[in-house]
Amino acid sequence: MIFQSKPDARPFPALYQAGKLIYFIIQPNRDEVELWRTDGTKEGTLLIPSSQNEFTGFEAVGDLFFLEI
Amino acid sequence: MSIVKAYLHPAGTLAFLFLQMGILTVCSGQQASLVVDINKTTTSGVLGNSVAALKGLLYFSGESQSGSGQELWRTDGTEQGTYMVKDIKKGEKSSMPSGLKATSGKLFFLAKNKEDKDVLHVSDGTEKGTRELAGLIKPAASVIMDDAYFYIRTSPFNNTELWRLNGNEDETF
Repeated sequence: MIFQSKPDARPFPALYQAGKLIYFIIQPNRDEVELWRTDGTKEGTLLIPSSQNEFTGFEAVGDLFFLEI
Repeated sequence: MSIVKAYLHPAGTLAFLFLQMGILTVCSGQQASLVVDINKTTTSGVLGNSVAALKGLLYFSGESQSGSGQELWRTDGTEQGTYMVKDIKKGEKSSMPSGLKATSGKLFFLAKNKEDKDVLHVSDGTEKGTRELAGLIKPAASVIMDDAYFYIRTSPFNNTELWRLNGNEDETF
């Protein structure tokens, strides 16, 4: 296991691979959404702060999500 | 020769793109054509749209008229080379393989176990090498990267977890 959230966080049913990284989204509570990325290691699994990341936003639709760079 | 793309027709026929001498060719000429009809009693013997290529063979979820239900099949693009890999759920009941994904050496997929629960399975393409990964319940999502199978799931304690299974190392399972 390379990542574990706090209890009761909901996963979006999607993993998005971009090159050597995998992005995924979890919802830690009802009002927040977190974007994470991993290079496949525990050390390389990081939360992307919403105010610092290079993504202008993301949208979750069903079992897909789209990253806008 | 490696199969690099498969087409599933609504009627249940399979067609393949082959990589041969570095050139993409469609089998049997310029148009996709039937390789084999594995179930002549129904409109479709190839179910779902989940296929994966492993070591030059194509794996898919299929159901013949033999009464084995919907199980894991493989094909090399010929009628003789198309057959069921394993009757995971013995008898008429179906294991209904889905979500097939392949590393360079292993095939990962979901299939129903004896308790009728969707459980992660692994296969090296042989009957003996096709087995359930004990305790690994249905992932919410999965992807292949760096020749490893990554999947996300909710734990029994309601945590969201991301796991990695290395494609060629049984001991990591």
